[in-house]
Amino acid sequence: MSNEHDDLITRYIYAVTRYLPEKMRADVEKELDSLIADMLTERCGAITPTEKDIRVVLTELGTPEELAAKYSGDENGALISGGYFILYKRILRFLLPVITAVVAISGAISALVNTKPATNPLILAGQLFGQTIGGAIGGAFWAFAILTIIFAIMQRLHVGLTPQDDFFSRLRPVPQKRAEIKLIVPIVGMFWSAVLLIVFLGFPQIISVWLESGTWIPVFATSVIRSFWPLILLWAILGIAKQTVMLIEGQYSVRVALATLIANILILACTAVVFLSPAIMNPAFLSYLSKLLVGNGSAQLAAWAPHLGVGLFFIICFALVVDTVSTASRALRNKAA
Amino acid sequence: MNKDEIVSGFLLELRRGMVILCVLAKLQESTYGYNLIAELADTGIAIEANTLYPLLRRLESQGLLISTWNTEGAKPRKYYHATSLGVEVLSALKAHWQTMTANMNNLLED
Repeated sequence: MSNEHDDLITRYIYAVTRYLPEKMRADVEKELDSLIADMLTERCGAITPTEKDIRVVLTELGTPEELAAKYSGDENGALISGGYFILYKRILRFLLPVITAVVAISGAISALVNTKPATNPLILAGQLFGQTIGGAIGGAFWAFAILTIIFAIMQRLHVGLTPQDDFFSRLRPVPQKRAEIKLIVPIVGMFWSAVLLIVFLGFPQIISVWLESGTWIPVFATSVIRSFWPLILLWAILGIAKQTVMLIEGQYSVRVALATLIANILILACTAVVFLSPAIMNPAFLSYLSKLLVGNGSAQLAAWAPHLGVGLFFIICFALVVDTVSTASRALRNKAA
Repeated sequence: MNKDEIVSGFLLELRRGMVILCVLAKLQESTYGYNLIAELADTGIAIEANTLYPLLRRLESQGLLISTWNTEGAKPRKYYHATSLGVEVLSALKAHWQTMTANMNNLLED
């Protein structure tokens, strides 16, 4: 065999062993060397193998990557598989749309808010488009990457997903058709909690009224709203936690009803502190509203204008009560059935 | 996917389990990888080198085989033979194999 042919074999063996753990390499190298020599002898007998013979023999062994995979036992290895994959797919399916939408919306809002009023509409449209689409793609990419990394690590470390011993106690009753919670319900819920967080903490000034004089009056006192950030954050977290319970349970169960009740009580407390605070509304907006109502001949209503925050509180209060009662009644109906 | 592809896919799965039994049975006597391929081929069982060599290594790491490099010949060769654990595993597998084939034959003849 000429050196050139030897070189082909040497390079092939090197290409295989470089994928293998260091302690295996020398032995596999020797083994492959001996195997290839045997295969060539089988093929050519006493005749010196040509380069073509060597190529045929090496092709028979497969590509270096394939052979290395067989040696390392990772042939059918997967980053995420089995039970991990099932859960991964399920989480990805709701996480991806929520994160994408939330990041896209915050991108759009931030483009709108940070643009100077005199900006050319075309440039504004470009910025809006860029921040929305760019944000959506970036958000989706990060969510995908981080979730994948977490699951790959979990699989590598064999983190137990659920206790193996007693799965019987975890088997849930089959829900009545009407008691099933469709995946979209918690997704929409989480989405709104996130939007609420972004708007109230990031850009409360976008909730505003446009005057014919060409100016905007924010409805809320921006700095006061922002000073309540821990409560607003808690509000969103409670909302998302409630949706998470719904997502995991998959049906209107007593647990969902209890989680909703507790979350809604706490949300109500947060709402009370924020909206019953006298400084929460923008005074300029309140006096504008007052004037507007007086102008329309509703002087009596105008007298109530300063208490707009209280009104908003009661509206939210009503929505929370409806949510709690309807969830509880569905859960009870499901339980009774 | 056509019929031939489906058949060859199933055949591959069937063979995968069988190969271990073949190897353990043959390695009651010491021999080297390439000779094992030839011996198995003589009995009508085809196994490729790129499957056998990694398999031998895996069985050795499980303690079923033991290997030694023989450098006396023209080229060095790695000889394998079954350990006592390997022999025990073989006899257990053999019993299962015989029951399984008997059951399968009954089933397939119905």
